[in-house]
Amino acid sequence: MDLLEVKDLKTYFYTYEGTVKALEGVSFSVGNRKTMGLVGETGCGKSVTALSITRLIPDPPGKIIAGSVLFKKKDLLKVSDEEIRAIRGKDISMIFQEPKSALNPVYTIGDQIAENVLLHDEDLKNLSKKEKKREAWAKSIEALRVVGIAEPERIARSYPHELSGGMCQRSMIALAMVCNPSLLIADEPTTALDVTIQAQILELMKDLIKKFDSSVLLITHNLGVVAETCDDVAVMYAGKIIEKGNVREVFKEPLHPYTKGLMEAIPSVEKRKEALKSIPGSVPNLINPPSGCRFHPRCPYVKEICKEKEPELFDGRVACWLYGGAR
Amino acid sequence: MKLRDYIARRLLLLIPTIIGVTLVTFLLTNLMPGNPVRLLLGERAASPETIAALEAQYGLDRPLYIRYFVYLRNLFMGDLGMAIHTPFPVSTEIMARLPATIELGVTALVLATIVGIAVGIISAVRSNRLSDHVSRVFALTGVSMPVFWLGLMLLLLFYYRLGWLPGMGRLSVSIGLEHITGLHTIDAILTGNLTAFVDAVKHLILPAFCLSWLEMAMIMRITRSSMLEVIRQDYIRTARSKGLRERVVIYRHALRNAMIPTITIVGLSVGALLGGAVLTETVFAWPGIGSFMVESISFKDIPVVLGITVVLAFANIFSNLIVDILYGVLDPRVRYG
Repeated sequence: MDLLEVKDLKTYFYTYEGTVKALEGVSFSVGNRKTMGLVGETGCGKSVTALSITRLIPDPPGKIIAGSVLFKKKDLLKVSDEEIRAIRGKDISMIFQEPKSALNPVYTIGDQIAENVLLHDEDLKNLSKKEKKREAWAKSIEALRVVGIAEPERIARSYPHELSGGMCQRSMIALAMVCNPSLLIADEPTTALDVTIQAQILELMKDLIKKFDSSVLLITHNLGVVAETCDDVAVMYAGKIIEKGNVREVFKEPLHPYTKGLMEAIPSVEKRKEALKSIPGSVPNLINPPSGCRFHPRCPYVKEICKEKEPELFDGRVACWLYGGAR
Repeated sequence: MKLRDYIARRLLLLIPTIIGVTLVTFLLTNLMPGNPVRLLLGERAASPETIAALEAQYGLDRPLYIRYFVYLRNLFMGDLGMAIHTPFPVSTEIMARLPATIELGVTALVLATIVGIAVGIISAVRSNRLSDHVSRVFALTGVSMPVFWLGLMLLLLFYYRLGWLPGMGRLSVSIGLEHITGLHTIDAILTGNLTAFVDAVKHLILPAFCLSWLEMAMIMRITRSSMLEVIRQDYIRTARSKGLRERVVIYRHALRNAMIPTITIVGLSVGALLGGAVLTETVFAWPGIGSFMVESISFKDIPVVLGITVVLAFANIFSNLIVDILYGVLDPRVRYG
C-alpha cells in the first residue's frame, strides 16, 4: 500500500459570489520513498490539494466536503484534531513558496526550528525543561548544518529579514526535515527564488529525501522541475487530475491535449526562431465550471461528447474522450 | 543594531523633542491675546506705573527669547513660577493635583488596554459571529460618543437615578485617609484601610470608564483589524503546519505581530487620556490637573496653563519613548530603523 492515498477529494470554498469548487474529485497516491509531482497552472487547485491533505484549509470559507486521505492507512479527514496536530510537522511537514513570509518575522530561525523539535521530538520527553530547550536548540543547529548552511550557530540566532530568500528556504527545509517526516509536501518551493538558487534547493531536497527515506509531494507549475526530480506526475486542470503516470511515460508521450499544450509551451533553445506556443484561453472560473470536460472550451480536439459528459481517468492515466469510452 | 543601541538612540532623540515641546508651548501661551497683568489687577483702572511694576515683577517686560531661556532654566530646576490666581507656586499646585490625574489616567489606560486587546482578539478570532458584532457595536458607540456627554449620562443614570455610585470627587468626605503617594487606592492598601479602598474604587469607576471607553474602542478596533491581517499571513499557516495548537498559534505567533500597531494606539492613548481628563475631570469634579487647567484658563493664569501643558507634553514624550522601545523589543526589524 502506498504511503499516501488521496481519493476523490472535494474541497469547496463558500464565497459571496458563489461556491468555488476548487477540488472536484482529486485522486492520486504517493508511494514509499517516491517523489510525486503535481503540476498545473496557477489557480488549478494544487495548493488547495496540499492544504487539504493536512486539513489546513482555512474554514471559513473553505470546507473539505468529500473524499478520503489515507496516510499510513489512517484517514486524515476522519482523525481527531489532536491526532492531526500530532501528524502535522512530524509525519507530514510542509514547505511553501515564499520562504521569507513563511517564517515568523519576530522569532529567530533557531527558535522557530526548535519549536518544532520541542513539540514533536520523543527523545526529549524525559528531560527537564532547561535540558529540553538546550537539546532542541542543538538539534536545530544540526538541522541547519544538514541543509548546507555554513555557520549554523549564527544563522540560528538570525531573524528571517536578515537572510536571503535562498537561506530562508534552506531554513524552512531544515524546519520541515528536523523531525524526519515520512512525507514532505513542497508547495512551489523554488518559484520565488533565483534560477541558480532554485537548482541548489532542488539538489538539496533530492539529497535529503534519499538520506531520510522520505516521500515527497512536489507541487509546481514548472515541468522542468518535475522532469528533474519526480518519479511520478499528476497534471491538474481546474480542480481535477486530467493525466497521471510515470514521469518518463508522461514526458515521452503526453496524452491529454492540455498536457501536450503544456509541453509545447516550454521554450527551447533549438526552436528559438519560432514564436512561443501557448494554450489559447484561460483557466475557467470554478464557480461555474464548463460542462462536460472542463478543458473543452480551450481544446483543439473538442468533440460533441466533451461538452456533455465528463471523462473519467481511463486506465488510470488520462481523462480525455480521445482515449476511452465512446470514441 | 543591538536592542541596547536602539534604546540609547531613542533616549538621545529626547533632547530635541523636549526643546521643541517647551518652545512651542512657551510661544503659544505668549501669543494668547489679553494681558495677564491687567487681569490680575481686575477692573480697577491701574496706573501705567503699577502695570509696569507688576510686569517687571513677573519678568514680562523682558524680550521673548530671554524669557524663554529663563523659563527653560527654571523648568529644569523644577520651578514653574508662581501661579497668578492662587498664592502658591505652580509646581506645588500641580504636584498637589497630579496624583489624582495619574490615578484616574492609569486606571483608564489599564482598563482600555486590557479590555481593548482581549476583546479585539476574540473579535478577530471569531470574526463575523455574534461576539464580534456585539463588540463592534460597543466600539462604534465608544468612538462616536463625546466624552462630556457620556459623563453626564453616566452620572444621570448611576448616580442620580440609581444611586449606585458616587457622583463626584475622589473620596467621601466622611472617610479619612493618610496621604502617602497621593493615589487614594494605593494609600488605602498601604494603610490597610479597606473602607477607604472600596470608597476610592467606587469613586473611580464612573470617571475611569467614561475616560477609557473611547480608547478601549480604538484599541479594540486596531487589535481586531491587525489580528485579522496577521492571521492571513504565510507564517501563521507555517505555524499551523507544525502542528501547534490553535491557541499557541494565536498567542505566540499572531499576537506578537499584531501588537505592533496596537501599541502605537496605546501610546497615543496616554496623550488622549490626559487630554480627555480635562473634560472628564470637569464633569466628575475630579480634583486633578485637568479640571485645574480649565479653571486656570478662565483666569488666564498663564504660568499654570504653561506648567500643566508642559507636564502633559512630557507625559506624552515619555509614553512615546516607551512605545518606541516596545517596538524594538517586539519587532527585530524595527531595530534597524
